[in-house]
Amino acid sequence: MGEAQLAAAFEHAGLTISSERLAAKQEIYSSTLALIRTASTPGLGETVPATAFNASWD
Amino acid sequence: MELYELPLSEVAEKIRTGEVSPVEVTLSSLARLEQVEPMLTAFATTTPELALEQAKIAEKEIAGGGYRGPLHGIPLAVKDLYDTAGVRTTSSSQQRVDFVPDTDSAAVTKLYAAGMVLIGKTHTHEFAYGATTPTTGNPWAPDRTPGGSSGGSGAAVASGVVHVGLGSDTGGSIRIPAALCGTVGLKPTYGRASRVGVASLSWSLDHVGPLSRNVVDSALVMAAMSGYDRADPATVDVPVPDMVTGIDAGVAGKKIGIPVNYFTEQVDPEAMRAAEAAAAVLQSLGAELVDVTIPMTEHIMSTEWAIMMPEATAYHMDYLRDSPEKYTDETRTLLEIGAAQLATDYVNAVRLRTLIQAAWKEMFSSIDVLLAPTLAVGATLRSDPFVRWEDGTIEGATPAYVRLSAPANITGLPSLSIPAAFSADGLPLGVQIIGKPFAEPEILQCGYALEQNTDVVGRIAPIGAEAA
Repeated sequence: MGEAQLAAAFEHAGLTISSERLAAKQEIYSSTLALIRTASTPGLGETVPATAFNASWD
Repeated sequence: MELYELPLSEVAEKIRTGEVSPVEVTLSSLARLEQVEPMLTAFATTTPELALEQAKIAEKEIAGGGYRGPLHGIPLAVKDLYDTAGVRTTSSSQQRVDFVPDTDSAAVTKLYAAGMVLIGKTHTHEFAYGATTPTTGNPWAPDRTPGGSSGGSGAAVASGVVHVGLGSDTGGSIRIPAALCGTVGLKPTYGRASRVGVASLSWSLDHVGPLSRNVVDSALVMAAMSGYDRADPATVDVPVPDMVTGIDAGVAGKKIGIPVNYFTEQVDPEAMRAAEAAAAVLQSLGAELVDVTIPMTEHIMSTEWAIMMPEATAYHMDYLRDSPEKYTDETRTLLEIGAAQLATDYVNAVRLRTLIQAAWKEMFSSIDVLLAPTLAVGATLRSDPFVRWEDGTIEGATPAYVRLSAPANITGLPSLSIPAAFSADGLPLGVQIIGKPFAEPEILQCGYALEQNTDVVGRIAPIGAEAA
């Protein structure tokens, strides 16, 4: 992600990130988000999430 | 020999028979604490007065015929993520520097019920978000990291202050300090033990468990802190087995999976040789070694980070919006990344987790347990937390350590790390035994067999010996 995209994402999340901080951290922000993006791999099809919700009241 | 130097099982037997009192045991622990803490900074808070008060109560109970079992009167260190009523619980962060909980975490409640004595709260990498615990030194070389995030507990156990320290494990945070400090560390099956009252890093990946000097100590403590808790929706309502009886059953006939990929890639040769030596010991005891291929390895780290990061940020959102300057820069940066992550990437990682679990189930159809190095490399310098590989790659200590421990978090499978060797420069190296769901007794049996047939488990780092 570029600096402008990151700035928009942080603003939307309600975080105050100075432009200096954004510039200093842009590489780690971007590289980590790029790693995470690979979790959205093609072909997940009908796979359901591994969640833990339990509707029981007991 | 001082009391703190004896194995837990021997101390427990002396307490049971009245040969020593819990007060004497606690005083020995506190004396060792005073000797080594200036060099290690393993503790965020020490509780000597509370410890002596609890020990005196235990002494009276035992004298009156109220012996509760082998943990009665045994000193305990608790990671500073765990709530402890009336005792400061900071998560090693300025965000919670004055936080004093009103109630105990579920695990601490259970261990108090077993009669354990609180020596203090151990440092964690801030809010468990990292694997080096910068505040704390490694007892085998104080200029090196004890690992993390449960680094204080690792240092407290390895230096002999306590036999048992509690940890939490989201990407390896029990097993990493256990391996780097030369202790045993048990991450149980996801859902085995309640996390209520323990500050969360990632609800989907967090586990609680012990670090200990010997294998049987972890078996005792893990069984005591396990059990269903409706307040923790991840816990599973299954019976808690006796993890000690039968721990000496041996490994004859067991099929031990030996990875031919992933756990063999970008791994220090000494760490690899330590795992190979452990496998050879098990084979010599009658186990069968079976080569296995780890599935879906290309998705392991992305799945771990994609689940952990937004969950951590969600937990911290109020602090992150209102007082971000109170975090260390490292933690703040990681939390900010989680805020910028797409929700769809999170959900897709949770879907990948479904596929990874299924693939590991299939892999386990031909084996009983998997044996692999706990970590790719030994303890890095605290002043230089990076790993420089021979191919020129430079890897941060946290991602380097998490790489081999994260699979058991994603799959939720139980994993026991035990000391396997010491490197040429005297640093501990660990091996992990990963089992099937809720098969803690089986991995403890394998660990016990290794402990009984090697000479590296149960050692206390000789720190402070020169001053004694």
